[in-house]
Amino acid sequence: MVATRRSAATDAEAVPEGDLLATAAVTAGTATAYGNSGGQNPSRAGQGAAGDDRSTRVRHRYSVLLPTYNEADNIALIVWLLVRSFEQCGVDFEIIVVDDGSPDGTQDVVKRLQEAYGGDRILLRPRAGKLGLGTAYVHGLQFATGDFVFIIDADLSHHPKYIPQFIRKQQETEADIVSGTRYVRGGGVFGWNFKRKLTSRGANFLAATLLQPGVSDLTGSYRLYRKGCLDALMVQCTSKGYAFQMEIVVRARNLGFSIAEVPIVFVDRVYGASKLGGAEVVMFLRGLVHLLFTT
Amino acid sequence: EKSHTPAALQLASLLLRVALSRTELCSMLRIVKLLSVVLLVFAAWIAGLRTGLTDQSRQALLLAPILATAVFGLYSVFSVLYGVFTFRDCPEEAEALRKDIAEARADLIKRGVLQPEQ
Repeated sequence: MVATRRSAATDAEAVPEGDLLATAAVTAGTATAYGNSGGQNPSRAGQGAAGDDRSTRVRHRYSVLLPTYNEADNIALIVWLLVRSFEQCGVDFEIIVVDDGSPDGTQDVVKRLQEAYGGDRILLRPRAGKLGLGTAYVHGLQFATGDFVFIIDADLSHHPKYIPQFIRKQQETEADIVSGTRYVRGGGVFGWNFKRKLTSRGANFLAATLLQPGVSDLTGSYRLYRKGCLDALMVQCTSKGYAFQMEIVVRARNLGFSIAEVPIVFVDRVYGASKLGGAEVVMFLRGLVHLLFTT
Repeated sequence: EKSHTPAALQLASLLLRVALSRTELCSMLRIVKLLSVVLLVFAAWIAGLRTGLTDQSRQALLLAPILATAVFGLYSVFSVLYGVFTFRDCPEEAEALRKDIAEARADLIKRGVLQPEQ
């Protein structure tokens, strides 16, 4: 049973004491540079030594963007797992579901979730039809009040249990972006045969050689962003499909954002049928060439 | 004839210097950077061929691009295959996910979000 408790220890869990001023300064710096880093007000941040006064601590709020289409089976499960992970960390959070007019009743499930967890925690911001992933992120970002944003797949291939690791990594490195990677030690995959692994590794090798992006997993979509950084990136990114995730990372590097990595395991429950036909490969290659010529 | 080569080399090295300089780095397009490197290497190769060399050295230089491509090709193949064979399979993660899903489902039914038959 997931208890919705708010303990006094939440601040300590969320922000290591020694990093408080650094965190506040960086948040303030980001807010100035990018104009909008969410709802935080670090105006009293420079006041005193860390731990002096709890009210000067910068509380971070983590928004989760969940674009969905026909995820009625999974949406309740992913939200439950997200809530559990965030409550384990003791951090402030919200989940924004951007549903593209799913005919299978996804929005009804989300409304029941809102009744269970509160409308301030679960936001439903639907759209009329299937309009693409990039625009779904842009749409959802408008309503995000956090200063950090998680991007995650809604089909349970990304397990929310890694969220504490993302948060910890971001606080340790003060990175602008934390990217989940399947390719390093500690990461992995389930449900992929040899051919699928070969395609994945081959595509990643090709893209990494040509683009030199500084991350090990270019097409991964389990990431944590500072809100200001994601806003700046969404303005520039126009690719579709896998190339979209690559474009974010490449443009992030061009804009000088720092990127840290966390190993994750990707569980493919659709068992290889998950959208990797010839059309997807062609779209990937076209996206790669497009990035070569525009970044 | 000999005047062409230094000019090409100069142009290529200028492009490369611009490409590599920190201030220009982020604003120069990827394709331009890649082509600059290729152009520089090509100009150096041509320059090398035009200087007086022994027959053996000359042959080696002529074959160098083919050799380099072959080496890179082999490196790529081995790199990708190594990546595939060390790509960790995680059945325990699938099992953990199944358990989490079961736990989630039970709690969600209690909270009235899901119906028991779903």
